[in-house]
Amino acid sequence: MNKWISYPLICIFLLILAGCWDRVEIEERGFVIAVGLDKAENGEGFELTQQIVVPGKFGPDSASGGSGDAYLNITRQGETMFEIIREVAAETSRSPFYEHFKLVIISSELAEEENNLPHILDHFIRYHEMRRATKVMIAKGSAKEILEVEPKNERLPAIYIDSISVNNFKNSRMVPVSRIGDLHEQLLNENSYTIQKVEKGEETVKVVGNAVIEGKTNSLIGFLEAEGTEGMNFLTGEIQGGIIKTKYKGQDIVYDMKTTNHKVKTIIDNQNNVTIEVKIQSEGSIGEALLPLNFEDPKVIESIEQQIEQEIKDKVMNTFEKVQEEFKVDIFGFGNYLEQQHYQKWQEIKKDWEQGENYFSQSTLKPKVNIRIRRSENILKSYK
Amino acid sequence: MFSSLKKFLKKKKKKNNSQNNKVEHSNQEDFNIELSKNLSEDLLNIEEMLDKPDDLIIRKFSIGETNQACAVVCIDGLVDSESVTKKIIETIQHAKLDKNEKSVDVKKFKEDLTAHILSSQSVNWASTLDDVSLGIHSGDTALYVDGLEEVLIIGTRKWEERGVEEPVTEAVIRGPRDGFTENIRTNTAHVRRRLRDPNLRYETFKVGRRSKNTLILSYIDGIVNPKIVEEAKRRIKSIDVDDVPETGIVEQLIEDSYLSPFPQMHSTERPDKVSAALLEGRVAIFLDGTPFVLLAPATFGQFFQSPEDYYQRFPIQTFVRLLRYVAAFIAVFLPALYIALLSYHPGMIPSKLAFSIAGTREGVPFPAFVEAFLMESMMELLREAGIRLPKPIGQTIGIVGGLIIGEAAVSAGIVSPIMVIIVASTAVASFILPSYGMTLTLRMLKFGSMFAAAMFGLFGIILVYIMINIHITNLKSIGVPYSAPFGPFFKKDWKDMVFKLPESALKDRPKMTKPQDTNRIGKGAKK
Repeated sequence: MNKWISYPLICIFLLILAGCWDRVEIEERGFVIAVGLDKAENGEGFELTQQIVVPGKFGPDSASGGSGDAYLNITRQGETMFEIIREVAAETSRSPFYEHFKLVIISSELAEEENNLPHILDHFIRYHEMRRATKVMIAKGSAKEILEVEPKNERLPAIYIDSISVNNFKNSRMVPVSRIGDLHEQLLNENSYTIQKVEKGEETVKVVGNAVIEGKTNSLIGFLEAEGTEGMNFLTGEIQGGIIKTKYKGQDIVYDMKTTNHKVKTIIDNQNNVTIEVKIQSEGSIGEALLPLNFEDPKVIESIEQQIEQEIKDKVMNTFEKVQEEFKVDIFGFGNYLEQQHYQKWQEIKKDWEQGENYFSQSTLKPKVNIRIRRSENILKSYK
Repeated sequence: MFSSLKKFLKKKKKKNNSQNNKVEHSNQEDFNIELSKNLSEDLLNIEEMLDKPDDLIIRKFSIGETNQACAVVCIDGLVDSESVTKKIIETIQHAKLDKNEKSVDVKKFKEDLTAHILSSQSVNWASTLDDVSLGIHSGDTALYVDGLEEVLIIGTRKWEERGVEEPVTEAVIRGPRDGFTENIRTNTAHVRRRLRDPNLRYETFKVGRRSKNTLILSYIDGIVNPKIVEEAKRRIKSIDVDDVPETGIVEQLIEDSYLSPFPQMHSTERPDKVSAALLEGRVAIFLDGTPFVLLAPATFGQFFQSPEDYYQRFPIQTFVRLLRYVAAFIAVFLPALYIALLSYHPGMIPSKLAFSIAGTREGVPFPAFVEAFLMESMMELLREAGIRLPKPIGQTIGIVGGLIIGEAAVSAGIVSPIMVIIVASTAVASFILPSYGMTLTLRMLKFGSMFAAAMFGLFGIILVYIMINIHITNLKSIGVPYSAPFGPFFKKDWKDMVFKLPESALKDRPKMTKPQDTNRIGKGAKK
C-alpha cells in the first residue's frame, strides 16, 4: 500500500487500539469514602458497610440535587473484603472506586479475635486503589452505626469523623491518627500499638481514647479511656497541644500547652531491672483562672507551675501503672529506646519484654516535668 | 516516518527550485533590451512593454531654447508631480547652455545634467529597459535624452502612506510608542535613529521575480557572527518566487524546518526591539510594504521576552517572566490535565473538589474530552471571529461568546461550570505571551495534548511533553539551536532568560549567537 495512506493509518490504529481502555468518567465512579466492618450476624465472615458519595447532592448547587443525604450506605455480608466490594458493584450504577477512601472503622468485636486485624486490613493495604493515608479506627460497639451518624455541619459522616480525628493538636486526650501505612509497619514489627477509638454519642461521635492492640496476637486487649490517653501522650511525646486543669488555692486553673518536648532515658541494671526516665518540658499560657491572681508576682507563677507539674506527674504515673497492671504490653514504645540505648542487653531481654518474665510490667518510671508559663494571655487580672 | 516525509518534501522542493531557475533565465532575457539612441524608439519600447497604461506619464520637451528633444517618463501616483514639474522639467527647460544655443553637445550635456543642472539628491544612469521599468515602478522618474544611450533615473518617490502609529500587536505600558510602517525607508530610518553606530549595515536585495520588492538585511558589523550573515544572505538569495508581500513569506521560505509548528524567526513591529536584537548579534530583515521586521536567529526563550522587561524594574519583570512560562504551560496543558484527571485519575484531585466536580458534571451527556473539545473549539471560533470583524462588532462577539454562550451552555447542562473556568483561564494564559506567533503555536499544541490526554491520560500528556521537547531541541534557527541557552547550556545567558537580572549584571551579549564582540558594558566612565 502507498506509504502516504499506510503510515497515518498505522498511527490511528495504534492510538485507537491502545488508548482509552481504562477510561471511566468522574461522574460514573462511586466514590467509597469509608468502610465499616462488623461481625456477620451468623457469626462467620464479615459485614461490610460502604459509604458511597452521591455527588449530585454534594455540588455547590444543592437545590438541583434536591433534598436527601449526600451519601449512601450499602451493607453486605461475606467472607472476604474483595468479594463483598465486588458484589456491591453488581448492585450500584456506579462502580466502587477507592482512591478517595478515607476511613476504615473496625468494630471492637472483630478486633478482639486473634490475628483478625491483619486479615481484615490485608485487602485495604494490598489493593492498588487504596492509599496508605487511609485512617483506621476501632469502634466501641457497632461500626455500621457510627457511619450512620448525621452530622450537623458536614454532609458526609466519613468526612466528619475524618476531620475530628486530626484535632489532637487541640485536645490532649486524643491520640494521633493511625494511618493504614503506619499500621502495616506495626504489623511487620510485631510491636504493641494503639489505634484511635471512636464511640457513638447521642448525636455525634467521639474520637477520644484509644484501643490497645497486643503486638504478638494482633488482637484488641482493651481500651485506654480519655484520662489514660492523656498520660500516654505525655509518655510517647505525641502531645500536640491541649489543656491541663489543676487546682490552685482550691480553685480551678487551666493551663494551655503550646509546645512540649520529651526525652526518654532508659537505665538497665544487671538484674534486668529497667528504669525509664522521661523528661517532659512544656511551655504555655494560662487559659482560664477561676480566682484572682497576681501574675506580676513571679512566686505565684512558680507555684502554679509546680502545681501543674505535679498534675502531669500524677497523670503519667496513673497511666503507666494502669497499663502495667491491666494490659502488660508496652504501648509507649519504650522497647525501641532500650534497643537504641542498650542494644546488647535488649537482644537478651527482647523476648521477655512483653511476654514471659514481662520486664515491662516490672519496670519503674521516673517522670521529670518542667513547666514554664510564658503568658497570662491578654490580661493580668480579671477582677480584684 | 516523519523523517521520510521530510525527505520526500525536500526532494519536491529541490525539483521546484531547479525548474524555477530555468524560467527565471528565459524571463530575464525577455526584458534585457538595450536602449537605443533614438528617443521615439525608446519611448515606443516602454509604451509597448507596459501596454500604454493610463497612469504612465510621458512628457516630451526641449532642452533650454534648443530643439534637442527629451522626455520624462514616470507613473502617476508614485511620484511627487510637483518636483517632477519644477525640479526636472522646468530646470531643464530653463537650463542655460553657454556655448551653442541652437544645438546641444549630448556628451557634454550628460555631464552637466548631474553636475550643474539637476538638484535631485538621487540620480542614476540606467542602460537597459529592465532598469528603467524598475525605476519608474519604484516611483522614480526616467529622463530620456535624444541621442543618449543611457537614461537618467531621478528619485521622485512620493505616495500616500500610513503614518507612524503605535504597534498594535506589541503594546507596552512603558517604552517607545512608535511602530514600523509599510515604508521600508521609514523603517530603516527608525533603526538608524536608535543606533548611530557607523558599523550598522544595510544590505539591499531585490526579491520577487515579478514584484521586485526591496529587502534589506541589517546587522552590526563587528558584533554579529559573520557566519550568520553569510547564511542569511545565502538563504535570501535563494528566494525565487513571484511575489514576497510580507516578511511572513520570507520567513517561511528561508526558515530551517518548515514542518515545525514553532516560529523560527521573531517578527516585530517595534524599532526598539530590532535595535536591541542587532546589539545582541542577530540580523534583521526588512521588507518594503510591511511593518513587520524579522529577527533571526530566534530562540525559544526570546518569544517570552517583551521590550518592557528591560524598561521596568528587574524583580517585577523576573516575576512576569516566570508568569509567562507558567502561562505557556497552562495554555498547552490545562485542558489536557482536566481531561486526564477526570477520565483517568480522579484519585489525584482533592476529595472534596472531586465530589464537587462529579456533582457539577452530573447530567452532562459528554465525556470530559468531548466537553473540553467543544468548548475549546468554540473559543477558537470566537477568537477568529473577533479578529475578522470590525472593532465595534468584535466586542459584541466577545460578549455574546464569552457570557451568553458560556452561561447558556452551563445552564443547558451541555458543559460543566468548571469547564468554562478551564477554557477561560487557558485563553487568558495563551494571550499573555508577547509574541502572537508563539501564542498560535501553543493554541494548536493544546489540541494535540488534549487528544493525547483523552487517549492515555497523564501518560499521554507526558508523551506529548517529551515529544515537544525533543522537537524543540532538534530545531535550529539559522544554525543557532532553538533551545539555547537551555539545550546547549550557556550559563551566562540564563541571566536574561527565565530570570531577568539587573541591567548592570548583564555584562555580556548572549553567547548563543556567538557574537564577535561579547562585552556590552564598559568599565565605567573615567574621570
